Amino acid sequence: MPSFFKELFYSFIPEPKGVEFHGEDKDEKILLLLRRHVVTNIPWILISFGMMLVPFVIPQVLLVGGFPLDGVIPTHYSLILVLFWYLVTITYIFESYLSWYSNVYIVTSKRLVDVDFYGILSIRVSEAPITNIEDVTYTLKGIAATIFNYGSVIVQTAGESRELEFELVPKPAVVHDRISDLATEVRNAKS
Amino acid sequence: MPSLNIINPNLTAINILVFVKASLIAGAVLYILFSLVVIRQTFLLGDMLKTKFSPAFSILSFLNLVLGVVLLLISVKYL
Repeated sequence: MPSFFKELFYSFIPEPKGVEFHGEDKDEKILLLLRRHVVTNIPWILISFGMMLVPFVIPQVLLVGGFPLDGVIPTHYSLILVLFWYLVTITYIFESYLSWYSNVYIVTSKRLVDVDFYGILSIRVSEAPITNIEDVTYTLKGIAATIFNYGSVIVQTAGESRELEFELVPKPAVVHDRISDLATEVRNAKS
Repeated sequence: MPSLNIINPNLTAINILVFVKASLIAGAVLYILFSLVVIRQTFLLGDMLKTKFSPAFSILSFLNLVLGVVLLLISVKYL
């Protein structure tokens, strides 16, 4: 699989190359980059296909309903309407993809970082040092989650932000194991 | 032009065209505003998380804005 494809569409990337995040230390290493499982994109992909079909379906529906558009709306109006509709569709696809791509969970050698873009206008970044991790649990709920092996990993921390949740990430058991091991390593190194 | 009775019996095809034109222009303006928000978002994303594709996303978001402006110009000129 080409590496660009991996970076654009994978949601479980161990030791990603060419990735940096705001506030990263020089001696810090990104161990795991996670996003919501690719399967969670299916709803907006289906909606996008539906939107692409709208310009073909609506004239047919109006025709069947006894309201033919022939001669009522000039051709150049129809063309511009269709162009407008496809621009809206492209923007919807771009925005939905960007929303998935930008909601990332990062496990580094020093901390956990959770970047959430809510809608298009707000962003929330939470982080917790590995040393503050107290408890890690994961949940795997529902048929799709069981089939495609994705779920949420919840990290309880001792700091101000009490809980970090990595939502709908692939291989939650592996992520849970990795974070637990990392926390134990850091704790043992300190003592 | 034939009258179209979908919405209102008194609404003529010409009225509908005026309505379509006004809606398209308003839609194009909203589209441009939304494109600006998307540009801002891609820059925020680029600040927060730098990947090989961050510049490509910024370029795409600018392209989106250009398409919105083109749509507005076409709507104003040809409708």
